[in-house]
Parts: sequence; C-alpha cells; structure tokens
Amino acid sequence: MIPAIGLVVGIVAGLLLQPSVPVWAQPYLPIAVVAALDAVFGGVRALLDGIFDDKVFVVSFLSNVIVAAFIVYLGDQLGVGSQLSTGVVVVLGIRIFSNVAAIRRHLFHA
Amino acid sequence: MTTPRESSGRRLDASMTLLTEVMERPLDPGYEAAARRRRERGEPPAKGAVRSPLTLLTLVVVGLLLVAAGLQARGQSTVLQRERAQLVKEIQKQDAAAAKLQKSNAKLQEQIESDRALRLQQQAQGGLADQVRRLGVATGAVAVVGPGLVLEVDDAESVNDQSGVNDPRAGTEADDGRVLDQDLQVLVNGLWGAGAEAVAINGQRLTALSAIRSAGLAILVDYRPLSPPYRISAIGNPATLQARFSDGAGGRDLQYLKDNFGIRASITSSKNLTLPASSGLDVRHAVPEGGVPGAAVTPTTTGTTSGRSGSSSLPTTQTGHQEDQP
Repeated sequence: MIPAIGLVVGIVAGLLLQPSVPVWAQPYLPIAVVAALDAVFGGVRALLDGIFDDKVFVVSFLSNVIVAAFIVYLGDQLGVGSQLSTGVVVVLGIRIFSNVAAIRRHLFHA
Repeated sequence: MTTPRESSGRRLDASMTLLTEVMERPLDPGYEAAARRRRERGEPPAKGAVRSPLTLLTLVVVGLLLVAAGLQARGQSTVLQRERAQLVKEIQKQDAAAAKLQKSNAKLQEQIESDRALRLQQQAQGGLADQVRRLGVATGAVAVVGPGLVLEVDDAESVNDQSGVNDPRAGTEADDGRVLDQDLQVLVNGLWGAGAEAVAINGQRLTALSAIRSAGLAILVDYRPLSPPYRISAIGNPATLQARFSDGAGGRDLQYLKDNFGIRASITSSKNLTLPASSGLDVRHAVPEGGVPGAAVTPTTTGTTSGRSGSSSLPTTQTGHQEDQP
C-alpha cells in the first residue's frame, strides 16, 4: 500500500512541478523509463515471491537506469546508438514481460 | 523449468545462453542472494523492507521519471505542430504579399510603357515606339495575343490517387507518374522549335532569362511555384505549329511520357490566346556594346493602351496582364 502511495506522490509531484528535462539528458529518458519499469516489476515480483529487499531494489533501479543510459551514450558516441537502444529495449522488455507473467500467476493463479 | 537436453548432457540451446538467461531468470538474482544471506544469518525474511524509506523514495523518483517522460513526449509533438502551423501561415502570407507586389509591378510597368509610347509619339518618333514594342514582343516584356495552341499536361492519375492531393507542394514522395521540370523543358523547347513566337506556362511568360526548374516536387518557372495541370500556351502559326510540334522531338517525348508513365496530355488549338508579360525580365549588369557600364537599361515594358498594331506579322500588343484565354 505504502509503495503505491509513494508512486502516486511521485506522479502528482511531477504533474505539479512540471520538471523539464535538460536537453543533454533527453535521449536517455525513454531508455531510463524502460529500465525503471523493469526494476519496479522485478521488485513487485520479488515482493510476491516473499524475497523483497529494499537495498536490492534501490541498487537494481539505479544500476538499471545508469547502465541503460551509459549504453545509449556509448552507442551514440560509436554511431550505433539506435541499435544499442533497440538491444536494451528488447532485453528489458523480455524481462518485464516475464516478470509481469510471474506476477499474474501469483495474483490470479492462472 | 525443464530444459531440453541431448543424450550427451549438452544443452541443445547452449549457443543461446544470453537469451536463455534473460527468459528463464528475469528476476534480479540479487533478491535471491539477499534472501539466502538472511537465512544464513538466521534473520527473518525482510518484512518491513517494503515500507522502508528507501523503497518509498525510489518509487517517488520512478513516478517523477514517468511523468517527465510523458510530458517530454507530449511537449515535443505540440511544439512541432505549432512550428509547422506557424511556417505554413508565414508561407501563405509571403505568397500573398509576393502576388500583390507582382500585380502592382505589372500595373506600374504598363503605366511606364504607355507613358513612353505617348512621349515618343509626341516627339514624332513613332518608328522608335514601334521598334520598342516589336522588341518587347520578342523578348517577352509585353503581353501578347494571337492564335496558337494550348498544351495541357498533368500528372498520371495514379499519383493523385496515392497522395490524395493534387498539389506537388504538399507531397513528399517522388513518383514516376509525375510531370518533371525536364519534361516541361523538353515540351517548351519542342514548341520553340516548332515555330512558337511566345510561350507561357500557367500564365508565366517564358523569356530568354526564364528558368524551368524544380524545388522538391514543385516545378518553378521564374522562381514561381506552379501546380498541375500545367497549361503551356504557345502563340505561333496555327496552320503549322501543331503538326511541326507533333513531328518533332517534343511531340515524340510527349507520346513517350503518355505511353510509359501515364501522364495525361491534351493539345487544343486556339484562335485567340493572351499571354501576359514576363515579370522577371530585369537586366542588371548587361549593357549594350559601347554603352556605359553600370548604367544598365531595364526593359520595363508591358502592353500599351493604344490599339495600333506594330506589324502585321507579329502579334499585337495587349493592355491586360491576364491569364491566357483560348
């Protein structure tokens, strides 16, 4: 319950503050969002598995976002930014799907 | 989860360890490792971890991130739309302004021409006035009337079906069925070669200084964009113009375009065509031999108001600056 409130607080704060993303960070935003979603769904699944750990959650979130952004940055420098972005999205997307499927099995037993 | 195994014990999908890893262990291994450490230390499972401030803070950041990304995506599209609308408006405004200026320019040129004719008349130099007007006809500086033919070409029907709009300025894709600037160049050259004395495309008079070229998908004549259908009006001997054009390179090219690309074309002869004066006939640097450099003469002449015809062999001059009418 409380984590959901945290998420809502973040969204409301975002809508109120209207944070503007600096131009240099804009290419990394979509990838960061996907990475953050991966960490969140991983956390929810761990919670349902009964092995949630706040430190692991925070570290996985931060490392996901930073590594994803770094890969995109590196790709941009090497001229293969879009390909590496696609790779990151594919890997994280598969993980998100698998985790959501596990969450679904936990919640609906189906 | 079971994994396929060969009799030797080697996994069939051993070469795809990365994908297997991603598919079979989507959960961060850290969670399991942390749980194992707790068990080893004899601590109870981390029940309160969900409510820890760390988790809460991270989720707040996640929420902020989502909103920022959403706003970013939405803001970008609206900014693009706004800029596009602004550009379209600006283009339309400048287009209208250019048309207005051209109109007033034509009117002024007409005024100048009539004043000059009157003055030359008063100075008893009627021969000079006639010469000026005859040269004006040949150079395209004055509007002319006469018999001739109208050649109307249009893009193939498939082009219009695809793009939905009959305006090349709105389209973005190149297409085989489109009339190109080089097609118009060949057709116009064919008309000149067939003995045309004055040619205009969509009301733009062609002179020795005219350029038919393309910018994007639009065809420009004297840097004014045209939209199809393209009406090429040519004044010339009505008895021979059409036959000579059809037999020449221009006619052959037109037939080729019709047969191979489906370009629509029609030729109609007309007894009374009116071609406007050219609006772009300004000479800034060229001077007659023996003249004074820097004092270039500008042949600013349009039709005269007098109804006298300069020569029976040449088309008569006209007052109006209007579209050609068959």
